[in-house]
Amino acid sequence: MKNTINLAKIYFKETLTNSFSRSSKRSGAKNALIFVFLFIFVAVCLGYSLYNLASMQISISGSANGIIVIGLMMSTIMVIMMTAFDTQGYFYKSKDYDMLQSLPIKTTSIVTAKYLSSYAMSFIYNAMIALPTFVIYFWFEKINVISIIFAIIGLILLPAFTQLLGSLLAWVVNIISSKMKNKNIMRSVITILFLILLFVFIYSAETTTFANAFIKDVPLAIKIVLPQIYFLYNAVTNASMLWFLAFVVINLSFATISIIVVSISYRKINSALYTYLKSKNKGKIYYKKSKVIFSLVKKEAKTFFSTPIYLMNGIMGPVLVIIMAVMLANGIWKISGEGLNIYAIISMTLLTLPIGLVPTTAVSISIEGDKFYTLKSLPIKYETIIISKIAFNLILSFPFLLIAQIILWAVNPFELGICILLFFYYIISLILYSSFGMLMNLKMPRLKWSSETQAVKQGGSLIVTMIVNMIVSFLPLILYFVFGSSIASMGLVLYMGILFVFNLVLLIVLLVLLFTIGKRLYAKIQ
Amino acid sequence: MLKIEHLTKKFGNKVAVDDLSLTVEDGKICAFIGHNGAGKTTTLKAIAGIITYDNGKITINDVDIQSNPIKAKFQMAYLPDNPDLYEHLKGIEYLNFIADVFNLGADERKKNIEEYAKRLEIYNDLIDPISSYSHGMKQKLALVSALIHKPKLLLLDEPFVGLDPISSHQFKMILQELADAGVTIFYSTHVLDVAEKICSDVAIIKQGKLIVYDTMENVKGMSSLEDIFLELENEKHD
Repeated sequence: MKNTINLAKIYFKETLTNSFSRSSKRSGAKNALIFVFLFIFVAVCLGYSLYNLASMQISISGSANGIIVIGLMMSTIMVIMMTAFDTQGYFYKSKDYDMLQSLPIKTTSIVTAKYLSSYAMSFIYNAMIALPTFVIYFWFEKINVISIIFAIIGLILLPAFTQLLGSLLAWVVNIISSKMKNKNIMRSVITILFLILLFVFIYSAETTTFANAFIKDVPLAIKIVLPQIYFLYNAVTNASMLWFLAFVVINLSFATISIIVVSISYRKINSALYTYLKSKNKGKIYYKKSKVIFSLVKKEAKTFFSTPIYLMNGIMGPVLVIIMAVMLANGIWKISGEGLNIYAIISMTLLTLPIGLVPTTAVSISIEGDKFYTLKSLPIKYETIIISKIAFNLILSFPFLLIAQIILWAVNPFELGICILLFFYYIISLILYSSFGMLMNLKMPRLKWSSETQAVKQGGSLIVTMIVNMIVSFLPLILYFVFGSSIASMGLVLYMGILFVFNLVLLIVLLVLLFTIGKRLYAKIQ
Repeated sequence: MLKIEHLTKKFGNKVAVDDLSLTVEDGKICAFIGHNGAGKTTTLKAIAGIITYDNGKITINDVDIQSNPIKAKFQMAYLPDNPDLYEHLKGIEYLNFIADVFNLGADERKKNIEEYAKRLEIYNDLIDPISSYSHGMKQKLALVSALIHKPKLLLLDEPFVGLDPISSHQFKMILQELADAGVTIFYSTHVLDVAEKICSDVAIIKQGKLIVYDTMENVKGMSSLEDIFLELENEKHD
């Protein structure tokens, strides 16, 4: 127990100091404050959306109870997408594996400490939606102290479910890939298969679940698939100790199962992952000259495709773009006339949101680790390095964005002018988000890490990039709702044109910052 | 030629390198020694253009590393103490990457890679992923990558760590050949007997200050380098 606590303390301290501080405690505190501010901002925005949903719900059913189900389901999906696929990085192939194995510490203690470290990240993402959910619920419903206590403890325990999914996934993926020759590639391939499976599940369940959540009774699907949400729902809405105990027990069971499962074969899997099985067909030595920028992009691609956590982080957005396009096309198919306008605006948000959530640039400096210093010692211009990193993100995301466009064109909803405007809006947004991610990673690089997950997921740069890009993505929709009548009078094309110019100006300003302030930040990384 | 003038580097209030000045002429091998935390790696990183510094000037063949970093870096190679290489690349891919950075043609890179990789006995492993390499093999690959563009200045941080006896011997010979060809070599080490054998000059740093810089012969006189170093270190405690 003592070892677990000490180790967990080290991981927490490492996360806190390395995620935000770049060179001094002062800049670290400043960066952390930016994060807290952005977290509150997003929580308030989500709270506003949940407020509207709850108002609608009250008008339908006379109660805001269902908002708990909707909010917690959304937060669960968000946490699954943001953290569950990265849990494997905490447990397997971490840099401190050899060192920890050489010490007289039980495997369960190591696994528990790592579990708690990943739990902290799940907690943050979960709280971003779950916290405003409860605030809105208590805004509409009678305040009860017991219910509030249940909600607070619920907030703390809720990530146990996503942690269980993450741990099981990590165990399955790594036990399979540890037996393969190309372990890293297999880890990536199997993880992506699970990701696709998850999207199919969410997509097929989404419509009916959300609709049913508006009626008083909790849908059966939730009771079966997400029982912890059902238990907490009953505990909070009825101030029921019995339901609350059931909630606590089920979450503690999730945590226990997670730790036990990962502890089984922990050493065996890790040892196998470090064993290199030589391939018979190795290829041959070649000497081919390339331009430096192509070499850098190739290096970036190799790192990306061989690092499951990095891959999952970067591929999530582009895959989501396609899913969003299919959903939009499905909706557009059934709508015509004026109703289409709102779909054009929604598409501006929905197709740019995923690519802005997790650009590879937001972590591409961090993932270099100590290799960054070798890179810095080489005669490569700052601009070349930065352009190569942004270029890789564009190469990765653009094909998906194009396919999404083709899906939308296939249903042929908008005029040609709007189609062209939308296309360029997406492109500008993509470059904008990539550049912002790059600037943030230069400001908050995390070069010291013991697992790739820490570099990718526990860096302040990714969280800040995600939140800011999310805000920019939602801007077309928010402005449309706030200034709906004015926008209707100015016309859709003009409104979209203004948004395009706005993003273009943002991009120009950002590029100037990237090649001036960014260059200074790059020089200061030491 | 490596010229350092009044180099000062601070980390917060701590002075890591304090007004350090030295000049290593072409064809010299200079050992840079000092206790742990004396400022050796910080000095090497400043010369390599990895970290900025607060005061002073560093020039490589009259090119200032701070004001003209690209031109200066083209003339040198830096090998960190623990070579962290791109594990997902194959050995040959990493060397081609470095050769691209230094703009080496196909024939030139082939000739140089073959020469050094074979001498350091890593050639047959170049087709394997770096992730499958042992620590020593990574060190050898990093050494090859530092040599293939024929730098005029070699900056090495503990280059002998992890090398097997044969590779270590080969590497010493390579260093000697490079020095004979006029290459400047500046390397930090704790292996004093090797330094004593191959180095023409020696610089000793203590708490960020350069306390000795002279030819090996003048520094050690009739004693061994180890004795001199211990003597100087003990002065600190007296």
